[in-house]
Amino acid sequence: MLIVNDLSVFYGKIKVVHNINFTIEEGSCVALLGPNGAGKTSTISSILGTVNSTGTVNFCNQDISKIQTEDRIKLGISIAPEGRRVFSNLSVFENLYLGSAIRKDRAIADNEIENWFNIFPILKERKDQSAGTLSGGEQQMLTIARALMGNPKILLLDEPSLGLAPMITKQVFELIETLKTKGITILLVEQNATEALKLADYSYILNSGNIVAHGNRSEILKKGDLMSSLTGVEN
Amino acid sequence: MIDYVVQQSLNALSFGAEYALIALGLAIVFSIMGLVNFAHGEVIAIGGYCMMVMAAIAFRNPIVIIIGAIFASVIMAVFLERIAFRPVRYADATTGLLTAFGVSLILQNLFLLLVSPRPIAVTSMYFLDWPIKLGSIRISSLQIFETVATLLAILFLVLFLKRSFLGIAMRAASLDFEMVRLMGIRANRVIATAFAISGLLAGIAAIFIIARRGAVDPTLGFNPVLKAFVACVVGGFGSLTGAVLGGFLLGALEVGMLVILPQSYGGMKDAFVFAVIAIILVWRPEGILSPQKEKGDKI
Ligand SMILES: Nc1ncnc2c1ncn2[C@@H]1O[C@H](COP(=O)(O)OP(=O)(O)OP(=O)(O)O)[C@@H](O)[C@H]1O
Ligand SMILES: [Mg+2]
Repeated sequence: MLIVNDLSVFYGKIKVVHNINFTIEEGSCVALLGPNGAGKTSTISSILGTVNSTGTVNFCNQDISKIQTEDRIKLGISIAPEGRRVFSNLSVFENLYLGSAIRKDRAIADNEIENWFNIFPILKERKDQSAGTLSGGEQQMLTIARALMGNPKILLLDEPSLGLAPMITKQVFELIETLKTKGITILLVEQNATEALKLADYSYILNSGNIVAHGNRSEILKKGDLMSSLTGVEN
Repeated sequence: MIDYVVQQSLNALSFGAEYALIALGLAIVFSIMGLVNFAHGEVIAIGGYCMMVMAAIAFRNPIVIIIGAIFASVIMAVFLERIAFRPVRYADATTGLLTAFGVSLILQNLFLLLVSPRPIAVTSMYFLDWPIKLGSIRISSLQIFETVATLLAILFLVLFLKRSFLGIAMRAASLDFEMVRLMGIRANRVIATAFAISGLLAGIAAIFIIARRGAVDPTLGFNPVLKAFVACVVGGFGSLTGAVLGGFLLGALEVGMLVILPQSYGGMKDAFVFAVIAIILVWRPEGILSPQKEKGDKI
């Protein structure tokens, strides 16, 4: 579904991601792991077209590396970004409403907002409250719900557990698990490698802008030393 | 005495209304793309010139002239965005500011060359202005129209920003534009709408300025925009509520100074007004209602 080929990301003259390749099959959950500054967010941004990059990004058999960000979203790529970036001056409802921007079927989209409220009763309670007043965990749920409002083909999740208490982190991972069983294709960027490896069908380990390892959980865990130094996973 | 206070308050209100109207036009563009659009004055002037042309080619119906003028300002605002501001959209704020100044100067000179450096009479809006006497209070109908029109424009804007999809997207964009694009909402659409609204407000302002002055010249909009800019700064740049508040505050200060200052100091009104504003800015450097800066992440 998503094929990234020879991708490099630049900030000015500085190259932070070096000619990486990876593939995400339809319906699978792929994890992109690595330490701070490895280039995970940069990789996601290049899929979305918000940074300078070279190489190709192929989505549903179409080269999207030259098209505008808005058009990529319209093709069915959705993002729950690092740091959540809820519209804190808007109400919870309005945040979800904007999430359905690319939908033509307004009525169905409105129904879906109701659905999300059933899954997260707390969001329903806070529906008219400004999103900035939600707790971090609630904001994360809102971010994911907002990203799903567009009915995406693929969901990009950038560090959904960042800064959350263990209990809430668990809830977030349970939610991702649910999404997975619904057949949504997911690219999961995480610091919490232990949990991410459990969820993902396949993982790529990024370090200093290079993919240093990839494979399924057991294959990754075999490379014990590398893993513990990069992601803190012990086997 | 009471009459006098009421009289002056009404004056302040109508002065403030004009500043608020123009300040809102500046603020709506600034809140979304961080651009201080000094060419806003020329968008107002275009409305004035449109009235001049329409009167010259014998349009008599005032409704047609009003609609024509507003339309001209909207088109001008959207056109400027397309040809001048879009290319520098992602450049730094200084580039945008210089571009706006450049556009403003070019347009003023074009008006000067193509039309005339001198004021040209446009009397087609005089019909809005007749004296009203309520007891000992004397006001002009124009003051009432201007205040009411401004309040209606604010009401329309609030409804638009709260109820329509694009309006909500614009509020979101004032906080985190990139995230709005990441929802699949076109940046061009949001920005063009912001400019169209600023043009609409400029067109309304043009009608009242012409109704009061009865003439159009190349700097028709420039001075009011400078005042509106000050209103924005006092109110908190980028905040729409702040722009309205700043506009009315500036109106009140100006009238207040005229009342308080002895006749012989009348010429120094602006100096005293700006002194008060300087004090306000010392107290609140970001303006009275500075918009939220944080992006809502709680990490
Ligand atoms: N806007 C930017 N300008 C310049 N350099 C940047 C910019 N954004 C990121 N970088 C650099 O690119 C490198 C990769 O950053 P990136 O944000 O992709 O890392 P990351 O893997 O997402 O890290 P984290 O886990 O901390 O989020 C870092 O060295 C960072 O300093
Ligand atoms: Mg990151």
